[in-house]
Amino acid sequence: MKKSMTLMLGALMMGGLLVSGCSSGPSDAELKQLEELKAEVTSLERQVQDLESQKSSLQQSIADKDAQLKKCIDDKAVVQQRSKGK
Amino acid sequence: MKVLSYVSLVSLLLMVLTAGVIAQELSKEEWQKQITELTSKRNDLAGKLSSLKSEVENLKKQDADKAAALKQCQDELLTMTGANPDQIAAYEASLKGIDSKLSDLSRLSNQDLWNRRGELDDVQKMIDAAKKDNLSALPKYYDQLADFQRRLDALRNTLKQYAESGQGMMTYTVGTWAKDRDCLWNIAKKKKIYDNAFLWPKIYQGNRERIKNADVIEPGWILKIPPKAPLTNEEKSAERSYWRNKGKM
Repeated sequence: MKKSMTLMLGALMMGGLLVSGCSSGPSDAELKQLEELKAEVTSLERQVQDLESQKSSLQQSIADKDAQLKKCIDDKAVVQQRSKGK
Repeated sequence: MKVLSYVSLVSLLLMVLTAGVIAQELSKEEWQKQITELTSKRNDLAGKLSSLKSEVENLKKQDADKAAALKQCQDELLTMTGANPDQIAAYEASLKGIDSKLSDLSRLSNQDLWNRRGELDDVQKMIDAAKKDNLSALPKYYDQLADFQRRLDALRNTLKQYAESGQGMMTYTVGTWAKDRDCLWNIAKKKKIYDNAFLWPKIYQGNRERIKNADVIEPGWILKIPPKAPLTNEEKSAERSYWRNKGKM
């Protein structure tokens, strides 16, 4: 009984060792590589987001200035006309 | 002792098995798949970033060019009016003064506005002076002056309606000839009325529904006294008519 128990336990241990020691997972270096790649992608996403925000802001600024410039040109025409009238 | 050895063996076995399970969370294939996907994503992002940087640089240049063009236009606009920054500041201060005055008058009750009606002419003079300035040709000032004129006209209208309703008009109760020597001439001469006898046609014309003959007013009559002002054409005409009829008598 004792002998069979010991044998069974020994067999189970061997099996456990097989599962853990002989599995085909990535190495520590490979896992590190994966983590670094993830961090790089996150950083790039943040940079792209910042630039898109800048782009949008600049486009709005240009549109505002266009509107102001148009108004200024119209005002010049009006002032010219009024000055002639005086 | 034997039990202890068995327990130790079982614990060790459990530890080994657990380690095995953990090590198998990410398989090699899964790792490879993630590496491939992330590498592709990184490359796409790097390309997008480069493109965006170029776009942003272009937009910055465009924005700077627009700002320069706008400043040039605004400077040219001011040059057309012949004004310098100090003159513009002074002009804007004068417009602010007109605005403040109009706001002040607008807040008055009708009675108080009636009592301060002379100030409306002062405001009109301020508006007229501002209109003469070349800066008034600029749309923003032109529109502002138009708004001031509208507000002033509204105040004048309020006064006119108030006067026509009789609420603001002064009245005078005619006394007797014997005691007060009340006639239109003497009433107009009174300091509290017009302090000017020649303005009697104003009282005459303002009470035509009651006064048929300018020489005949009755004690106890309550006469409306129109505001002191130069004789209107109508009042002058009434006076001429009076003298013509008097001459015929």
